[in-house]
Amino acid sequence: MDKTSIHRFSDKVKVYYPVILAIVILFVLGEALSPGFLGNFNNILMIASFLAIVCIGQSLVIMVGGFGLDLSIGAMVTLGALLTGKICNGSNVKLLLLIPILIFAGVVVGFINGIGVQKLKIPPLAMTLIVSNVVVGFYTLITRAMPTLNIPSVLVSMGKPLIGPLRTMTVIAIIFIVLFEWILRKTRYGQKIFLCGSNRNAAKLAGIQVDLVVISTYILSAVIAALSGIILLGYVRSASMDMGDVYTMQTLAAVVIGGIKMSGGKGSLVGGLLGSVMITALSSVLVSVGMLASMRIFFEGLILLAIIIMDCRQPKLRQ
Amino acid sequence: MGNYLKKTVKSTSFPAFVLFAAFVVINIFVTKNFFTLSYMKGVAINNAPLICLTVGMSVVIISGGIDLSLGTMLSVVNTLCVTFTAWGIHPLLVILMCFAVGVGIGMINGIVVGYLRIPPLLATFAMSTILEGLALIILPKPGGNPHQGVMKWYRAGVAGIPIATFAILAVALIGAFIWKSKFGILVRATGYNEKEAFFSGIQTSRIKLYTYMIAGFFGGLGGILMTYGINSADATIGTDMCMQCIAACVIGGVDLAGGQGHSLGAFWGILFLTFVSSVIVALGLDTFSQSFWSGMVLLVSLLGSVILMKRSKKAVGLD
Amino acid sequence: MSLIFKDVQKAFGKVVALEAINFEVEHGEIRGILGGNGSGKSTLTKILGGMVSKDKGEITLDGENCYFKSTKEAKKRRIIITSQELSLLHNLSIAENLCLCELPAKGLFADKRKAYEIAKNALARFELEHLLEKNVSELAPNEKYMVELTKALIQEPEILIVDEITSALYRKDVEKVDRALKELKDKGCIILFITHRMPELYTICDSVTVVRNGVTVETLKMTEASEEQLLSYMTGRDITAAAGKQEDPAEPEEENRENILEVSGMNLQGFEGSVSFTLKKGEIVGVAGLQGHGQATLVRQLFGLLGPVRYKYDGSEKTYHNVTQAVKGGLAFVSGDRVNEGAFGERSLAENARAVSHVTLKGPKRDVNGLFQQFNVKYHNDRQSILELSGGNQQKVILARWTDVKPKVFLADDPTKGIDVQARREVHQILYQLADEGTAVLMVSSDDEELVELTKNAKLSKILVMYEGKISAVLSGDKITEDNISLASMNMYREV
Repeated sequence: MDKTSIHRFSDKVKVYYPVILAIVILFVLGEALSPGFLGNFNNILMIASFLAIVCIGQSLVIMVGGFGLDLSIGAMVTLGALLTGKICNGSNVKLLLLIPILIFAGVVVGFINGIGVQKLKIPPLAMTLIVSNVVVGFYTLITRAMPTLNIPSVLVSMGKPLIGPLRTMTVIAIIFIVLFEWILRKTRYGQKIFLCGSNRNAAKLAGIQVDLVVISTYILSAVIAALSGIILLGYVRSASMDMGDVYTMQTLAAVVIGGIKMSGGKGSLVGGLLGSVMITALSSVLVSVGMLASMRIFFEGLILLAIIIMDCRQPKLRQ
Repeated sequence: MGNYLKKTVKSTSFPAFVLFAAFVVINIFVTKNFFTLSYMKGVAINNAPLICLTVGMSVVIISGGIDLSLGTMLSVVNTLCVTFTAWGIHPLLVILMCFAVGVGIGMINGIVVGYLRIPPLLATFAMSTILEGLALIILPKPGGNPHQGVMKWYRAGVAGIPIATFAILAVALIGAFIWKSKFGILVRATGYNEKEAFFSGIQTSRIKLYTYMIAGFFGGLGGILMTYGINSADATIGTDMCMQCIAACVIGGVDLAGGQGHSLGAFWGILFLTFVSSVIVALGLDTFSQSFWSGMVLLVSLLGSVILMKRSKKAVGLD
Repeated sequence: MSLIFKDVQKAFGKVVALEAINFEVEHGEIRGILGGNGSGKSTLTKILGGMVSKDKGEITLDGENCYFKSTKEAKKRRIIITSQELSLLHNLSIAENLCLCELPAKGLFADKRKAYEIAKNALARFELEHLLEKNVSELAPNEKYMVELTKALIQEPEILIVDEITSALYRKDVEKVDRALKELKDKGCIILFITHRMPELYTICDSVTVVRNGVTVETLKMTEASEEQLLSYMTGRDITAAAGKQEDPAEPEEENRENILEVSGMNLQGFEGSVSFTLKKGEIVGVAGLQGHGQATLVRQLFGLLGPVRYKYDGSEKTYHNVTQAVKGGLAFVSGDRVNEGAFGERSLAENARAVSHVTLKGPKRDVNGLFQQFNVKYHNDRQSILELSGGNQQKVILARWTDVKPKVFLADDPTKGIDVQARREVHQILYQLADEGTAVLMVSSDDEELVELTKNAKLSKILVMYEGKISAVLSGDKITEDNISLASMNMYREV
C-alpha cells in the first residue's frame, strides 16, 4: 500500500467521523442524564441492527442513482410480519413455505416500483408512496385487520444472545451487511449499480442495461424489507396493522445521517449502519430522560432538519 | 370558439376533468341520495380541506419543488384552532392566527428550500416530522372544539349552500388565475429550468419562497376548514393526506419535474379521487376491501395518466 | 471613456480560469474575443454578465463600477449576454421566452398581447415573425440561436455579449446578425463577440482580443491582424512552423480492404430520405456538416441508441435492438459530452477504464496503468477520481475504455469537443493506432479543419458531409478541403 492509498482510505473513513462522534456523544450524554444508560447498549445495537438491515435496500435504491428512493419499505416490513403470522400460524416448519412467498411478494412489488420509476419515469417518491398504499390495502384486506399472534417459536430467539452478547438479530444484520457490501465492492453487479448511479447515460453507452439494474435494486429493497418482517415479528412479539410504518422514514433518516449521496453513484452500507445506530441511540436517550413520544418525534425532526441543512446543500447557481 | 375548445381539450388538465365527470355520473347511478342537499353538503364539507391542500401542492410542484409537510401542517393548524378557541380567543382572530401559522411554516420551508438550497423532498420531509411531533405536543389526545357559533354558520351556510362550497370555489378560482398572472409565468420558468430562469434575471429564490408561503396559506385554510368540518381536532388527521394530493396532481397533468401543468388539473384530479372513493363506498364492500381497492384505483389512475401524458408529449415533440 | 477590465482573476476551486485579464473597449466598438477552449473567454464574459463572481480585479464602465453580483443587477445596467447553451424554455411560448427578462404586465396579470407585440416587432427585424406560432421544441438550431439573439436585443443592451452563436447559422442569418450588431454599434453600444470562426471575426468585428490560458495575450485592430498571427497568439506557438511539423501525409493504400460496415438506404430518425455508405476495416471516416443535419443521429442510430437498427456488419446482416447488443457485437461509441455521456464522476480512473471491458463484456479485471501510459494520460494513481484530471485527460481515459476492447467499429460524436490542441492531436494518434489494428473509425466533428487534418494523415480515409439527414458529398483524396466541406454542408458541392 503506497502512501496515497492510505490517504485515500482515510479520506473515505473521514466522512463518518461526525456520525461516530455524534454516537459517542449520545452515549455519554445518555449516561450522564440517566445513569445506567450504557446497559442499554446491546438493546440499542439490536434495534439499530434491524433498521440497518432494512437500510440496505434503501441504500441500494439510492446508490443506483436518479434520485431513487423507496417509500414502500415500511409497508413491506408490515406485510412480511403479518404474513408470517398468518401463514405460519405458530408453526416453525411453515417458515420454509413462508420465505419463498415473501420473496415472491417482494419481487412483484419491487418490479412494479421499478417499472413505474424506470420505464414510466414516475418520480420514485410518488410511485413508491402509492404502491405502499396498495400494499397496505392488500394486507389489511387479507388479515381483515386482525393480525395473527401465533408466532413461530424459532423467531422468539431473535432477541436472544447468539454469539457472546450479540443478539441473533445483530448477527443476522452483520451477515447481511457484509454480504451486500461485498456484492457492491467485488462483483460486476455492484459495479453496475455504482456506474448507473454515477452517470446513467454513460452507463447506457457503455452497454450496461440500466433498466434491469435499477429495477433489480427496487426488487432487492422490497424483498429485504419483506423478509425482515419475519425478524420484526420475532423481536416485538406482537402484531399490528402499522408495525412497520415507522421504518420507511427511519431508513431515509438513517441513510441521510449516514452520509449517503442522494444522487447516487457512491457510498457504503456502513453509512446506513452508523445512521441507524445514531437514530436509535438518540431515541433511547430521549426516552431515558422521560421525554414523551410527541416531544421525541418533534426533536428528532429538528435534528434531522439540522443535519440535512448541514449536509445536503446544493451548490449556488452563481459561482 | 373552436380554437378555445381545441385548446381546452389539448390542455394537460382535460383528462382529469373527463375522469372527474365520468365518476360524477357513475356516482349518480350508484348513490341513492346523490341529489339530496345533505349528500352534496357532506361531499363539500368533507373534501374541502383536501382540495385546499391539493391546490397548494400544485403550485409548489409547478415551481419545481414539493411539499411533504402540508398534511402535518393541516394537523397542526387543526390542533391550534381548538386550542386557541379553548383559550377564549375571538374566533376571527383564531382564524387569522391559523393562517399566520400556515404561512409562517410555509415561509420556513421556502427559506430552507429557496435560500439554503436544500432539496425540497428532504427539507419538507424533515419539516413534516417536526410538525407531526408538534401537533401531538399541542393536542396529545383528539378532542376540543372550534367556536360553536361559527361552526353552526359554517354547517348551515348561505342560502343553503355550505361555506365549504364557497371555499372550494374560491380555491378553484385562485388556482385558475394564479397562472394568468406574471408571477405564474415566473413560477413556471423557475420550475422548468431554474438555472436559465435565474440567468434571465428572475429571482428564483424569492419565487420559490412565495410558492411555499402560498402552499402554507392553503395548508392553513385546509386546517381551518377541517376543524369546522369535523367540529373537533386530531393531531394525526392530516398525516396521510400528502399522498393523495401528489397523486391528484400527477393525474391532473402536473409534471413532478416542474414547469408544466395547471392547478385546475390538480383540482379535477382530487375531485376525481374523491368521487372514486365515494363509488367504492357505495358499492357496499367491507372497509378492508375498500381500502385495498381505493389504493388500486389510485395506482391505476396514476399509471394511466402518466402513460397518456407520455404519448401526448411525444406527439408534440417535447423532450 | 470605455469598458475596462483590470487584472481580473477567477478560480473555480483549484482550477484557475482567469489569471490576468486586461483590456479596454470603446463605446461603439465591436470587439471580438478569440481563444481556444479553456482559454477563459466564456468565463470573463460571464463575470461581466453577472453570472459568475470574480476573485480579484476591477471592471469599470466610464469610470464607474461595472461588476454585478447577479444577472438581474447586470440587466438593470443593460449588460446583456446571450446564452452559450440555449436557454429557451420549452414550457413557455416563444413570445414569453423573448420577454422573460421583463414580462409586460397589467397589474398582477401577464399582458399576453403586449408580449406578443414586442416579440413580433423584435423578430420582424430578422424576418422571423412566423416563428411566434411555433413551440420552442419545433425550432431548428439556427432558429434557436436567432431567437436567443432577439431575446438579448429586446432588452436594449448598452453592453452586449454574444457568445458563439454563429456556428449553427447559415450565411443569410450571419448577414442579419452582422447588420443588427452594426446598428447597435452606431447607437454607441459596446459589443463583445466571442467566436472561433475567422470569417465572422473579420466581417463583424472592429478589433479582437486574444485570450490564452486565462490571460489576455494581445488586442489588435482587425485591419492589423493576419489569421496566422491570431492563431499564433491563440496557441502560443508559431503556426507556420507547426504546420510543417505534421507527419508526411500518408500514401493512400490501394490494396483492397474488406468492408466491415455497409449501410444502405437507412433512414435517419427525424429526417427524410436515407443514407448509404460503407466502412472498410482500418478506414477513418469523418462526418461533417452544419450542426443538426443528422451527424449525431447517424452515429447514435448505428450504435443502437435510438432503437433497433439493421445493417450489414462483419459479413452478415445484423440487427441490434439496443446498445448492449451493439457493444457485445464489437461497436464502440464516444461522445464529446464528457460530463453527461462519458465520465463516471464519482468513480476512479480504473473503474472508468474498465466499465466496458470488465463490466459489460465480463472480461477479467486487468491492470489499466499500461493503457494510461500508452495514451500519455497525466494522472497520479489509477484509484483517483476521474474528475481530478483535466478535460483532455478525462477524454483519453474514456477512449481507453473502448480501445481496450478492440472494437471493430469505433463511432464518435465530436469526441474532441472542448479539448485543447495538444490533447486533440494525441486523440488523433489513438485513432490512427486503432485504424492500424483494423478498427474502422466513424467520427463526427463540428470542426472542419480537424477533419481535414485527421483524414489527410490517415492511410485510408474519406469524409461524408451531411445535409438534412442525407449524405450530400463523399470526399476523398485531394477533394478533402475545408472549402469543399463548406460547400457540401450547404448542399452546393458538385463533383467535377
